[in-house]
Amino acid sequence: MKKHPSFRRTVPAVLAAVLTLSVLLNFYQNERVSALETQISASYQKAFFETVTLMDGIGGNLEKMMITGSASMEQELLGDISRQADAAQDNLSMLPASLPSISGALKFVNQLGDYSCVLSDRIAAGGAVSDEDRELLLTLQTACGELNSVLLSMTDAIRQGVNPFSAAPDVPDVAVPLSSMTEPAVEYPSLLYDGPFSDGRSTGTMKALGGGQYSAEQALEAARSFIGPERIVSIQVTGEGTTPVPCWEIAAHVAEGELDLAVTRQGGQVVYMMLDDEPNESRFSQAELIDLAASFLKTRGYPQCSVSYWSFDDNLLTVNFAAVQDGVVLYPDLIKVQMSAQSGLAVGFEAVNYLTNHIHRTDLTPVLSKDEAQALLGPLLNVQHSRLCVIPVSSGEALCYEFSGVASGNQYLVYIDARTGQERRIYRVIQDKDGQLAV
Amino acid sequence: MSRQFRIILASAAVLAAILTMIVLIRPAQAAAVLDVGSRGSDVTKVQKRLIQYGYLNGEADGRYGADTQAAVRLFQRRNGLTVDGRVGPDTAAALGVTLSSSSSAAASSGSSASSNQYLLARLIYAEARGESYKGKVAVGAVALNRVRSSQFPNTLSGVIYQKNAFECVTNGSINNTPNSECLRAAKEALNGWDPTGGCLYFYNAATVPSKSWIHTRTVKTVIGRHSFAV
Repeated sequence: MKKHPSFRRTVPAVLAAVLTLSVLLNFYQNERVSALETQISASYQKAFFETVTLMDGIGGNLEKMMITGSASMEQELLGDISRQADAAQDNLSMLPASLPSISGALKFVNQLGDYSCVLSDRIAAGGAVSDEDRELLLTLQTACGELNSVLLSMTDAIRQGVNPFSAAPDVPDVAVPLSSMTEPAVEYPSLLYDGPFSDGRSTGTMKALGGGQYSAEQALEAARSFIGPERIVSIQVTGEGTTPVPCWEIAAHVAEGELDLAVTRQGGQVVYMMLDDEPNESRFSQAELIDLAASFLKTRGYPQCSVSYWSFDDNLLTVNFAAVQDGVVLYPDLIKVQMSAQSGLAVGFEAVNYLTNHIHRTDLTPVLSKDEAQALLGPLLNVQHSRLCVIPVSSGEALCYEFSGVASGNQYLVYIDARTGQERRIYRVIQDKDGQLAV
Repeated sequence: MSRQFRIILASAAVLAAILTMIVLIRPAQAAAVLDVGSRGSDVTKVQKRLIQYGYLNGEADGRYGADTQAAVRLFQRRNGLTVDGRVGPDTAAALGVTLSSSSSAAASSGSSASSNQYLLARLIYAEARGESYKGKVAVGAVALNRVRSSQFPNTLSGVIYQKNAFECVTNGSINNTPNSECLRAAKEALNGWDPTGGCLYFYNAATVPSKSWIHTRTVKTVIGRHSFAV
């Protein structure tokens, strides 16, 4: 058979060309991959060396803290330490070492940063560094030294060409007697991130639980009456958890959808309730829903509460209530209620803060009068309302005057300590049609 | 050249060409897609259309279940679309429905808040889209508990993008677009709902190797396929 003469030549030529092309492409891809690898390695190295420098600085400042005698120098050093600790945690969190070994270093750096802030605040308010503080600082200094030597050994490894990041040595888990919670770097101004007052949360003990151990059936009954027996289509216990205290987990089917609840074993209190669906329409106004939420709380046996923040979207109104005692608003005791704008009934609930913190406060008498406290405000604020309240602070709680006012067109809340006159907090209030937010 | 040699060369070249094409053509970014487990007004819109055209019986309840999936498949087959049971942009256009790629719960409260909600929603979508609503909120709560904890970074993006912290970041699936249920779950978690009671870890007990370090953590509760631990 006669074949086209060109066929015998072009086919191999085309095949060879395609092969060459794919080999070249492979080569090009490899180049790209190794360039990226180098880039990533470079940012790890930067993060690591920055951490080493910062930890060195922190160690030096801690030493100086032991020696200095003046309050102003102490404040300056503590300010530096907290800034360096912040930057160190930032860089540490970029390192690719496996989680357990880096978490020890992160924990130390975070606790140190927070503690320095607290101590610095105390000194600024006129307090002093106590003997216990000095002991704690000594412990921190020792821990810092240990951490630095681990970091230095990793530096040596890098100098010798070994990659220390694939198998980082275990950082000693420093048993520092500080809280395991730290301030987030930035206050998240989401609408109700527990309001601005989310301290005192999840310590594991709930002070407001009643007595008595609830069995599964009793918990079911408690949940039934909480939801409202007429609403329930079906209800059952789905399991148990320790969230954060031993709870019965319950699921209930109602007209709005499926509700998930947790009821504590001790005291049979509802910790949370949430609805798995969103309503399709709004039939109630926001004001009506807030009232309905308040009466829901009342009928479920919660003490008098005042509305602090609220938000509305997805046809759901979420209201943040704070308990009130003798006319004083207790912000640590927060309860959230979520109302369906379609049915006007409660479909969400959250009371961890309330259950953790709500006790009868024994002393709610202010030292300063309202006028004295108001005189301590900055000159630009035009005060509109004021009231007494309790706010959570890093060392517990503080009785404060809450001044609500306007300055340069913005709404602000300023909290003046009713005993010391110290300005504790300032928040800017952002209000729009869908709710209130404090930043 | 012998005939066999030419055949080998030809097949090798074809293979090389195919591999080249695969490498060069980047997969398209996932757009808003409705799938089994999706909920919300988008699903209701789709269901209403399917009922109108006679593919689905019953009510538009806003829940994408097996019936809805079967109806979608039938619709896709009859209309020459890819039959995968999911409503993507093509299927939605054929149905005459516009999918909102972000829910009406978009924040009116500042861009930083909405970007945190969106980031958290992406994490929830990537890690827990097959879980119940409670399971989704739980995953969001774990991320936020880590922000509060001293053992982890102090920002939400620091926690989420911490190396080896979440599988979905390592394999890139965090970049998919979250659905409205995940956006709502993110908002719920940001507002303080925590069905884990402060947990810092979660894992799928069925898929994690038995020797993994995560088994040393204390499990506080199990929600769906995820065990939550501290």
